[in-house]
Amino acid sequence: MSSPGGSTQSPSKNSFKKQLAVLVAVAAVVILGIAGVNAFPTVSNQGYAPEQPIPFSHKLHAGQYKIDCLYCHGTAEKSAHAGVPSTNVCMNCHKVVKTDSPWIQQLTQAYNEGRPIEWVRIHELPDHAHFVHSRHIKAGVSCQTCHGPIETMDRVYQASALNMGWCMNCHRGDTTPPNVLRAYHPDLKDPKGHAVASVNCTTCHY
Amino acid sequence: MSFNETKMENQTPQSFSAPRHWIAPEELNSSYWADSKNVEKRGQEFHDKPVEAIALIDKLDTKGLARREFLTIMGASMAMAGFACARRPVHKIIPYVVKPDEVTPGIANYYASSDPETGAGLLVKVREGRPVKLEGNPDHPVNRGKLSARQQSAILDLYDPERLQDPQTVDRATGKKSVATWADVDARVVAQLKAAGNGKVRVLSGASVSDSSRRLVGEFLSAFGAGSRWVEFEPLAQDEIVQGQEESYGAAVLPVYRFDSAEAVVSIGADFLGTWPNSVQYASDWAKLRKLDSKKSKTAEMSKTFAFESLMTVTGANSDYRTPIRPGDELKVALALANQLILQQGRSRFAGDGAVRAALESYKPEAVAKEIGFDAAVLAQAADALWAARGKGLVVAGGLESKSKSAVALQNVVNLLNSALENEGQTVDGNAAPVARPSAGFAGVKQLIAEMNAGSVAVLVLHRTNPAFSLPASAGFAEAVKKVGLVIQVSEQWNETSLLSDVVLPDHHALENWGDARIRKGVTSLQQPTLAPIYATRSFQDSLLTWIGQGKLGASGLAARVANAAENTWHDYVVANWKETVFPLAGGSFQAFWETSLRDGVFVQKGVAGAHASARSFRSSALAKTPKYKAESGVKLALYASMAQADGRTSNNAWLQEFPDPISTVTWDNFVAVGPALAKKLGFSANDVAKVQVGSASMEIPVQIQPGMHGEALAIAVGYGRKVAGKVGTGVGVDVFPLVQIEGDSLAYSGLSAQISKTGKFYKLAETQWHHVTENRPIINDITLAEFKKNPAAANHTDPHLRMEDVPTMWSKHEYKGYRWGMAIDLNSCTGCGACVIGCQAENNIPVVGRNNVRISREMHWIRIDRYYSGSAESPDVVFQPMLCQHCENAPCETVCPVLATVHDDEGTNNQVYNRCVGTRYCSNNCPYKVRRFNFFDHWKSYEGSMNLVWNPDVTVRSRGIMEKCSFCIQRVQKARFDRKNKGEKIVDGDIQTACQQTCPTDAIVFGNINDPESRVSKLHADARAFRSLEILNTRPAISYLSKVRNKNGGAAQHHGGEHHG
Repeated sequence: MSSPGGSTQSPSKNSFKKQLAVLVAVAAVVILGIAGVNAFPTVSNQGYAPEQPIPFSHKLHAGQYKIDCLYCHGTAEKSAHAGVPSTNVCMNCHKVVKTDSPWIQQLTQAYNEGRPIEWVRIHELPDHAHFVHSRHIKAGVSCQTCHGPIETMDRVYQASALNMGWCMNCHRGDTTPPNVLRAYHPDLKDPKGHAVASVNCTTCHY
Repeated sequence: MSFNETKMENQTPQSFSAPRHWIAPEELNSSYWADSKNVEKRGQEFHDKPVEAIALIDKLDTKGLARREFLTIMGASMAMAGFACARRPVHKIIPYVVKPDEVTPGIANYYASSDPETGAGLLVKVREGRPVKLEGNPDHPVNRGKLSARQQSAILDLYDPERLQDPQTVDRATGKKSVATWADVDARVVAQLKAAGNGKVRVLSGASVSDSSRRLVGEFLSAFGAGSRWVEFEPLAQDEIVQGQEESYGAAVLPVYRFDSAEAVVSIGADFLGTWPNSVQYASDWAKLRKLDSKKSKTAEMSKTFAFESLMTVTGANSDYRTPIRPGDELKVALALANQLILQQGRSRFAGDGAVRAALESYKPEAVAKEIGFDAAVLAQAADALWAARGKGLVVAGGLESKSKSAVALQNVVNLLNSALENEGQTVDGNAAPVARPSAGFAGVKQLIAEMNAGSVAVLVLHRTNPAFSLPASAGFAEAVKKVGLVIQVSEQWNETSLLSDVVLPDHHALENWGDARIRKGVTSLQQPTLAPIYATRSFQDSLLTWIGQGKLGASGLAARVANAAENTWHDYVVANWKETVFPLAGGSFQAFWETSLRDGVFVQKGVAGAHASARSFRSSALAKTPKYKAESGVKLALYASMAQADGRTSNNAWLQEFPDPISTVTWDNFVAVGPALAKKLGFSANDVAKVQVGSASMEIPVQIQPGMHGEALAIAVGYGRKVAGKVGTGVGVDVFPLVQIEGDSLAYSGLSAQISKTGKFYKLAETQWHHVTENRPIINDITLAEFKKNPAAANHTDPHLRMEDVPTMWSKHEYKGYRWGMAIDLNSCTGCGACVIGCQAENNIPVVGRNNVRISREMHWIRIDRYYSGSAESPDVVFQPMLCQHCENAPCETVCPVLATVHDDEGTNNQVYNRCVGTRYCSNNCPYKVRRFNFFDHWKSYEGSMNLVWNPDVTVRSRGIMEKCSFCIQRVQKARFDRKNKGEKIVDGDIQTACQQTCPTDAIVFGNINDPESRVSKLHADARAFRSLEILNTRPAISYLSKVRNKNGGAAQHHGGEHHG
């Protein structure tokens, strides 16, 4: 077995210099890359809080008015996707509520024109990671466990790292909410080190 | 990788010598595997020749950038990535404005529909409004939840970016095409139709099984006076069967065969398991009588199948007794068999019939057998088996490869046999055909061409047909069509015939269109669109309705009513037609009936569908034209339809181009199949290019040496060599339709006298048979029924001291507390049809790599069908083995992965974690089954534009540099788990079907929880026939195979050792 490009030549002095140069360049890229990652701790996008086309406030809707999360994100308990509500869900209330607001007027106009609102995506996993909302909701994980104090956010930001280590901490039992532990392992005294959720690779990666 | 030190047969404890399974005839030379060079050559798993590989990388991957330059750019962009702001690119979430009630993002909807060509029931899996997978409709009585490879692949055609997207007008003189608007085209067509004159309009289309469509076309043509008619033509039409039925029994019907009660089957050039239009149903039925239970082995019974055929087909490969004959010998064989049964053995009520005697007399079984070169005893055996199973036997013939000039005579003899054997009315059901329909043979086109030449056709409408390609040039279609005033082609694709048309109109894909199909009495399938048209296409039927309405053409009946109503679409027409014709059979409220039919995808009329047949009486006069026996000699050619390409209409479908032919394993090309004896005589070896000449037509085509072909037989697949097909299909293979001969009112595709000679040129066919070989390790088991009855475990010739239950192991055993997934594959049911290969491809986002990559064994299919021969090269037995990741408990791949990208989970599956894989390929190197596939390139990039809509959103699309392999459809396991867990339940047997299992027509594949002793898979694992592939390696696979059992005389050992050798 040989790999592409496997032919070797006896290196002359000149090509040795070239190789050295390449090596130095690669090393520089790696070092600077690591430095870059450290300089920007938000590489996982934690804290990412982009401006949205309509400044929808979760603080107002979920916090002050205590509208249930599932009223708008209804598919979260049925499907892998929590789903951003379609405009007609907004219009259920905003046909009559706060119709004098310029934002609501924009919303209404888009709705009437059949134009979807293009929200900016905040929480995003790579394509090779499959996260299923419904399983987590059914297991008793609250929305805030992952999404943070969403009911206090005027503008939504990514509260958790959403990286694999963060997922695993919970699946292994280190950071699992007590109610979830109780539901799944009522007799478990010390959950540390015990898997409370599957840690098979294919639980998420397929 | 070398493995030539042990011969497993030597370790066999019983006095049972295993048949030696081989891949190609050269292995029959006993010194083949002793030669270390061959071991080295065949053991290569990455066929890298560095120079070639680099050339490929430079050419394919960097799209014109030189490799060095490419690396520089890559380096720079990586450096920039390090400094760039860590924010991701901004992605949008665009929700619905008003979400349709039935759509839940992330959850698939299934819609029942049907395949307009075969009438098979479909379940279309739709995610967020786009179809992503076709599955069989389990409630459909014909295909019962199963689909063929071709039916599975139709989804790719839907998203083909080269589909016709706008109406085109063509200047026939220069071939220049330009985009037009529908309004302009309609105006032009309507004007010409109005000016056409009485009786001067013709519609030429493929065969239609749609009642609504038939009615509409008839009503459309009624506007243009008597003489305006509809001509149907299918190159693969079974018109010879229909014509034979008419001559023998009086009614022109395509009978339905009941293989599920046929205990003895004789196929004379009929590939009913492979290329027949209803092969899915027939394979499913046929396999029902091949299922065995080792617990009842003493009383086991199995159907017996004989095949006489001129090339190796799937049917022949699965038969118990297969006899190679020359193309065109089918009639002789049928007459000799009838002679044996009726005259020699004096059986049946036709024994005293003078007309029958006159026809059969000269066909002495010994003389015919001697001329063709087989043992006449097989005719006696077949006659005995058929007579013993009379009323429950079946003789079938028909198909392109037996469509010689005597094809209809052959059908009459077959009908005689079925009547003599009392099969008529039992296993041959002439009453189940829906209505008498045109047989779509050549006669209609021939008349049409004559009419065009005579100038009596003003407007020709072409739909779903490509006569410029599929008719031989000698038919004169291209010349005749020049005399037609306006040629309108309605087509999904731009093809050869488009160049002869004035107007080319883009048609809907079947998944965008309404329709219906009736292929059985009492069974009407409904076809509904599952997405809005992607392009500015319009269905053929909508075009007719538009022209009728716009032109006030004065069509009759329903067409006029619908076309002039406010709701004037094809959908309205179908609804109205169902209300008038189908609804009265059901009763109740129409709305409820219609919605039920839409939901079910099929309306089954109780008491009519599947009703018991009645016997028709055979007319001996049909045999009057039987010629007297005359011995012939010389090389004969058969043209045949390949499993993948059929008549070539789907040649732009890359899945089908890369689908390895079940027998030859060749992809991306056709070839001339030559038997080993003829190849030796003419000095051909693999990859030679031959010149094949029939009459004045000749062509150069690569040679494939095909075991089991007669010494005077050649075979070439039609449907290749398209000149105008698209990026994928144009120029793939060689077009052999020009070799077709016109014999009166029919076309002769077989029994053509041919010359074959060497050209001295070479061409490397992209065949997969030598890829992933097991280097002669015993990987497969087969026995005879007699041996099975004596000892159902007889095939299990693995050394009992090496049975995996007892082998000491250095690894700690895995514990499976919950589920443990496993699979059982019944080699006795597997016909090798390959439906699973395409089903898996669609489900698991498996890319296409192209001919050059297949040549160096880089095809990506997760499941492959390994085909092994045993016995002599002239007349071998065949066994198929679906090979996929075995999900070994002691997985050799897992122990060598340096980054833990392939690991075992606690449910027994071997997981491949794409995001961890760094591409060392050690795992593939260490895999004894060679089921791992490496992404040498970003193959997904070859899916352009709309083609990206075909990806299954539940499965990651893999990128370059990583390994992949069968996951046991883990996404389906997860879905079943989530669905059950959300309800607080456990997964039960039958919840999960892998994609391969789901589409397997013969139910050869069973998947489930082997921790549950009651599951189907557990029971099959416990069957005495079950064996694990390469068990001696102690890999402990989660897949058990069940030995192949042949219903033939003599032990496998005796058969393979003696009968054919020498």
